[in-house]
Amino acid sequence: MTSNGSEARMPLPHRGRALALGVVLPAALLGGGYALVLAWRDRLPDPVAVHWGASGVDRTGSFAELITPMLVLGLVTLAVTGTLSMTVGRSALTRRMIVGLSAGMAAMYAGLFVGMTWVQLDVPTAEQASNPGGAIALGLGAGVAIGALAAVLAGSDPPQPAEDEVPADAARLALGPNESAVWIRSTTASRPWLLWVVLIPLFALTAVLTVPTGQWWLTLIPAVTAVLVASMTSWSVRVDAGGLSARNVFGWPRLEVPAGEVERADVITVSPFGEFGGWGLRTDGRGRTGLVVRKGPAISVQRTGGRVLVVTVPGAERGAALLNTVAARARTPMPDGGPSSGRSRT
Amino acid sequence: MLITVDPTSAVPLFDQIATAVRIAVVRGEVAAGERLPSARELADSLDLNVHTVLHAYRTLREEGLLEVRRGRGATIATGAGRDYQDLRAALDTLLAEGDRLGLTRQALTGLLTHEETR
Repeated sequence: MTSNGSEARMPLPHRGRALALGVVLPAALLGGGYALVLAWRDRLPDPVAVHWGASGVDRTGSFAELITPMLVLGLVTLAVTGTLSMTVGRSALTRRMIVGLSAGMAAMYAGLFVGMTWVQLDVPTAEQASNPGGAIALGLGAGVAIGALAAVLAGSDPPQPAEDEVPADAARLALGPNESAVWIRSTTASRPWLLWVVLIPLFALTAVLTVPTGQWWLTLIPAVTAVLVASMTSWSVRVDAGGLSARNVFGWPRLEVPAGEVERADVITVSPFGEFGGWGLRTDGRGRTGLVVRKGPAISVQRTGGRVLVVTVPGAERGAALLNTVAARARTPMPDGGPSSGRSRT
Repeated sequence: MLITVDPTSAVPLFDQIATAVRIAVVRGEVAAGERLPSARELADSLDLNVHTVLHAYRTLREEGLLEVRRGRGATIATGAGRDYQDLRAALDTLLAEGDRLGLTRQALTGLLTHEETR
């Protein structure tokens, strides 16, 4: 195995965008939101409503009690996501995810405290403040929209064709000079019922909260969770002459590694929880991107620019071998995988 | 599921695809109910005409191995009796016996073909 130590220290692509969208934009959202509620201060009741229960306002307090918790949560989140925006994100997908998360979370927290203040504008006493459900839903929606927009703008990866040959010790799949091949496997969470163990109580809790309070927006939380979970549990992984791609039932997010950017592919054994801290589409401490939905064999792809993608999939050996073969073919203009060593297709 | 095709082979391309899908099903690499890629996608991956892939899918559907539904694409048939375990075991036995008796794969294939026309 060759070490990519020098490449790993290459500057991250699109750092300017990461700074603008992952640090400056969320800071401006939180700062702007805070400036706005400060400007509204004279139009608020004193004390203000700080908590709503099933039958309207059930706790009042000072202006600071209303704003500070969410502002602090927003700033602490930004400290983490802003730092990560500047330090990870070597591949477009991780960059989009972290920058989108940073901008989206800040928009959400700002939307929450602005929304909860907005419903109290020009209200004589805190008890008369209307329910902030609609404003909160709007804030959550704004968070998702701004996060998605930041992710879109975070910048795609410039093409970085590999220069070196695929190492001889990287396993190949023997293909005749005229043969083309595609390898397709689906990879699914090994215990999908576990997800329902988590989701059903969440649905039940939401029903319990929604029916008596009429806070319809609460149903968005399990709905969004269910969609996210569904999008992460089952993927189709494909290797063909174009390289490796993986997509879920919705077709997005979609992972793609062009054959010309594959340095080598290997089979490793992955423990999603131990190495990536969970399941799904993740990044680990070493900057690897992982599509890790199950424990066991995985294709580990070393991509140009020091990027590494790990995909847990059954039968990873053949996928990795075919990827090395097509990567080697992509280096030569002719579709010639070297001397034909027969067709071992068993 | 690994599908390899060789346009210079004497075996028709649709047959090469059908064989590869059969192998994957018998080996349990694709499960009953699992969806195959659309003919268009597979044709793009293998740089073939889409009609070649459709021909392969049609052949497999006629065998009862695939179900093809409008809008859902081709899925591995789930019906009763669609269990390949015995066939897998029989194939393993066949190969092991062939190896034990020093018969080449080609010789075994010849036996199978001959058996059919006996």
